[in-house]
Amino acid sequence: MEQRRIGVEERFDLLCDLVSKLARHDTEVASSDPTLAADLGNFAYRLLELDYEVLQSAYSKLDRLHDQLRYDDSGDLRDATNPQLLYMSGAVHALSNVVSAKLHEIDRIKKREQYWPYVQCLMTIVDELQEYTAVEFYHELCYRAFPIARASDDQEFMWSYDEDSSGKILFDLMNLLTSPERQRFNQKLRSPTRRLKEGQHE
Amino acid sequence: MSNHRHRPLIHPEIGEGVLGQLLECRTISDDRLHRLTYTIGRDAAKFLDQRIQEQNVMCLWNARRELACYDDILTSSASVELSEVQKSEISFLRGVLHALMAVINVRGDHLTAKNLGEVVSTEVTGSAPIVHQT
Repeated sequence: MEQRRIGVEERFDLLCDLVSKLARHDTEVASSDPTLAADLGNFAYRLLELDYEVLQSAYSKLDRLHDQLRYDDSGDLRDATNPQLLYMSGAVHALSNVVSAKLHEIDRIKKREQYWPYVQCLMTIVDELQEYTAVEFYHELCYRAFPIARASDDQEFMWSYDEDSSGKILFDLMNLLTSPERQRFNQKLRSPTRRLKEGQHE
Repeated sequence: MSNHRHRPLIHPEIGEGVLGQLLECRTISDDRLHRLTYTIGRDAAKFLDQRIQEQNVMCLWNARRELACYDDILTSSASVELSEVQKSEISFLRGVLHALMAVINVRGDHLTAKNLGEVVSTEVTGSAPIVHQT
């Protein structure tokens, strides 16, 4: 596994160097740009299976490479006179975003594990209660989540979310839900406008 | 899972809308075009990551077909008179599309090989047969 990790990283580095040479108008490299785009795509995908640190390093590399390809020496956007550079900058831009999306997903999973008791708490509220507005969900969540945080002496949660950060707990936890959980939540969410109209009617 | 089959990687209003405007040489400011091409790269990558996690080969091939359609539109743009900036953005976008398609190809091949491996191993060991949907 370790051998494979080094292999992929090293080959990815070599490929980035090639693309970088392309940005410096190296004609030898410039002739093979479509293959380079496909190779970069291939390696970016392989990198996705590797460690977080490797992904971070790949992201920085791709980000720098994109700037190098997209802008000229004076920092202006390159014109259409060199379509190969623009083409590669597009490929590198897309791949840096693929890597970035993966990094965000890893962060989200880590945070979900960390906040699991509160995610569970939110989903219990969703399953137990009938239609609620976002504000009502928020108040119910605070009412139930803070005792959990106190019981486990979760200082970080206690400090991060006080009564003034209205709605932040709910917003943050919603970002940690899976698609089916989010769907269940949305089904129970009632818009304040509808509530007001119902209230007026009453 | 099946919901995602109809959910595009690139929102049609952004994809076809921008490309359509480009090809019809309608007025679209260079700045707006530049920002939109970046949005396409960012959003498509984000949605692609979701498709990759779903491990559904059909979803991936559908996503690839969608990107190939946009690529076809860009290829046909060669016959249209475009400004220098529009030409630049088209070169950039083609790079975006080809790189994303390369990622899909590798992932799709990987998943297909994995599925085939499962079929072979099941048949060799004589376990209960798996019903495969194509």
